[in-house]
Amino acid sequence: MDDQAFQELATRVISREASAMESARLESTIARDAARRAEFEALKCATGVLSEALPLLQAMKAAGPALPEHRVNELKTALRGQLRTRRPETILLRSALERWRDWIFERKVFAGGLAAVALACVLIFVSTDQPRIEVGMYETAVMRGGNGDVRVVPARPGVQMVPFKTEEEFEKWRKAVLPGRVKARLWIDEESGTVHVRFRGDRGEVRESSEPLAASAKDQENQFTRLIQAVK
Amino acid sequence: METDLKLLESLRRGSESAWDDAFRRLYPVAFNAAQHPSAALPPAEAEDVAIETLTQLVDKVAEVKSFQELVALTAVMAARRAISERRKKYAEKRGGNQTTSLDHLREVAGDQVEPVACALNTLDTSDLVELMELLREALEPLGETARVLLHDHLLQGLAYKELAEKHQMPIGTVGVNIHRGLLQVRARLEQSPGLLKELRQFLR
Repeated sequence: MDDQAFQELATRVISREASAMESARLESTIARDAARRAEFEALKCATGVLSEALPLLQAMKAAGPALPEHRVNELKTALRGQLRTRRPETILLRSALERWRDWIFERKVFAGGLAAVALACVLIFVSTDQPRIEVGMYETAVMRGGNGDVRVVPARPGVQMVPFKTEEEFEKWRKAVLPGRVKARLWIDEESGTVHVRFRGDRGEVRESSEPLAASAKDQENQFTRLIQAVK
Repeated sequence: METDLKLLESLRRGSESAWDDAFRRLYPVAFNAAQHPSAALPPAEAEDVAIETLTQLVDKVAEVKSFQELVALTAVMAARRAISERRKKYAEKRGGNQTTSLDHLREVAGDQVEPVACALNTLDTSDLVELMELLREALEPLGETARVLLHDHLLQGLAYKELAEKHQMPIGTVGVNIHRGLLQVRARLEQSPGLLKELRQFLR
């Protein structure tokens, strides 16, 4: 019996399509030929595996049913609980970044091309008497800890987060002349994807620079660290 | 919408909006997998299994290399959880609140019990995810007709004659398509000898 004939016979037996005579013929073939027996076993294995796996392969392509809305909060609660046990401050602050970005795009705050959004970076601080660097952001993007206080992450002296409730307040801050004790102000223009820095140079002159916002949250953190170091 | 790679990066960073997107995409996968024939859960219980599975994914996202792998992992986890739930229910019904082996289920209930999903319960999760990918690759070149015929034959239990009537094609064509499909899967499995060896131990 050639290979093709054997395979077709084996398939028919496995599929329960073979007659009694065909089944007997297969049995006698595999009884005297170990290689044919192995081939038959492999085909039987493939059939068994496929029977189990086909429902999963179909499930992987499923587009419905949709996630029930009444279960969404349950998932969100579980998600936040798990994320909090991993790396609380960094993950939560990064979540604030993402939420902030989502909030802005949802509300189209940046209409007219002036949509500038300041985002907190991991270098959020309490102000001191020394000339400070301000990072402006909308208040809703600030993460709050369990006791209601603003959550801060690794502190460095001289950098202050400045929260805003409205775009109007933010624009006023952004356009204002740098106060005497403020060395620099940083903010992000989400619409154009740029980071802006207005800073006081060594001779007291005010200068402004901007650069493309880094792609990933991690790179953005590094970018803010670098910019703050540069203006200090 | 983010590409799947960017989505995966966002998931690893713990982005809530990314997880919201992922949950909505993965829920149908989990729900449908929870209705695996070996579990046969009603929709309300399949929904519970699907939600529980999704909550477990947060810890798993670091282990996968692609979003497609996360999809496969979701399906595998949901199916396993569903089968486990069925075993518990069967044990409770018999009294004793002890889970029973799937082999025992088959012995006592004979033909009334669906195939016991040996590979799903005995291979570890990473092997199962690999298997899903392997089978997906094996079936892709076959074409829709062959895939539908394999589904109807293996899962619906339709004989060649019934398939020929249903799909309005000669019985010989039915046989050829199923034969080629099984050979394709076998050939692909043979390219992963370790996996094939494990599967052979558990499939009779």
